[in-house]
Amino acid sequence: MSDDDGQVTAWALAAGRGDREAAAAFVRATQSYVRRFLAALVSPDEADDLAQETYLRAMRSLPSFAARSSARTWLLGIARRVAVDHVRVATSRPRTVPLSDSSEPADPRYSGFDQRVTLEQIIAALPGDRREAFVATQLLGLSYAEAAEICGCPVGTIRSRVARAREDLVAAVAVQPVRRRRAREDTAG
Amino acid sequence: MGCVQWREVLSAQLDGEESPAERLAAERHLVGCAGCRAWYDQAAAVTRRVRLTPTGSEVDLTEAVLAALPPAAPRRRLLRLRLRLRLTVSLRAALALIGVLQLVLGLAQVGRGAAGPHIHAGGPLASGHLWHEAAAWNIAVGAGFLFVAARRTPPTGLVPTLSAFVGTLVLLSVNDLTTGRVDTTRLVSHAFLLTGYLIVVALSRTQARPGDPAGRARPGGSRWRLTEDDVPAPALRLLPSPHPGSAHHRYDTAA
Repeated sequence: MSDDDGQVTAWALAAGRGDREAAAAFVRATQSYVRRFLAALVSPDEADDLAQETYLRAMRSLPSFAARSSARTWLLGIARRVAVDHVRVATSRPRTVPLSDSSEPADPRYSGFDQRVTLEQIIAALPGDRREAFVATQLLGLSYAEAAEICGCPVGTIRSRVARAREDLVAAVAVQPVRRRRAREDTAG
Repeated sequence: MGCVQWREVLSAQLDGEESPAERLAAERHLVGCAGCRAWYDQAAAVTRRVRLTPTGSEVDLTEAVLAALPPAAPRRRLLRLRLRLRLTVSLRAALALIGVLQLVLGLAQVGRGAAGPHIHAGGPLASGHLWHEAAAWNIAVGAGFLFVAARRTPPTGLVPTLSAFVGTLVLLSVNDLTTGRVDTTRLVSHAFLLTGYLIVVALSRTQARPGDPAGRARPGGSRWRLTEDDVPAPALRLLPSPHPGSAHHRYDTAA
């Protein structure tokens, strides 16, 4: 994951100096994991809008980006704040939010698609700080140190949060009748 | 150490973040603890499934993000700005040098006093105090040059005073030269004053540009400006409710 980290950071610095092509390359190279992060932190339906908000904030503060950390962790830190702000606003007023298709309860008999859905649901049900740590390290493949930088906490905290999240996941998966299926899926790849 | 702590080590091991000592200790624990062995297998399986989760649909955001940016300054203008900045810096350096020379000139004039050979020909007035007064003027002008060189603001305030001073001096010098009342070495020392004056005038012109009133623009900073008043705040789409009045609560999942 750190192979093109230097390139992304270089693009970010050039974009901060006003280079539009570098800005475009920066967005193109980073948008997929920004969106993934936001989809897991908030909801897949709002990931696009929140990613856009993330980039607007990032572009505004790019001139002051000094490459003390890699541009990737810097950007994900902004995405995390966007998610936190969004959730704070969303929970501060009563709102009716319809369930999207992807969050319909999984039908155990309908096994072609539900593996992903149930996992997503289980991850979405994790407490906020555990989910943050888990998504950053597992879905985005970041190191504990990078995740700690994004979340603004010590590495040890990330480590224990990831472990707690794993325990929650193991417990949640064990409750569901998926264990027999899992053996089949593992052989299928 | 209880199983909870061991599971934290095992979790770190799944991510390759454990220390060698921890790995050895955890292996020893696994040999004796069936519960942790089972947990480790399950955790590994879940981790594999999570990491293999396919990504959702990908929409390219690049255009949307770039469209929200105001156009950057054209390259030629940037180049001209940079050139101008370099010119300003070198002019100020030259002015500082001249200021120092002018100061030295004035102080030397005080030191040499009325005994020097450069006393203007004339009556008793020329011998003593007038000489000192001229020295004070030289020192004042030197200090003014240094002040302008050190400050980054346009030196417009000094220009009228200096213009009058230099103009009068030039006229009088020409007059004195034709009537033979001054030697050329004394006139040469006025060259500092004249060059300094020209630099001050140039500085007061180059720095007076809109948007940079105090000359405090950071060189090398971004030329992009994203004012929130120009661009409407990024509108977050509120999800349309297919069934008015449906009251599901899903936001308790987010922290």
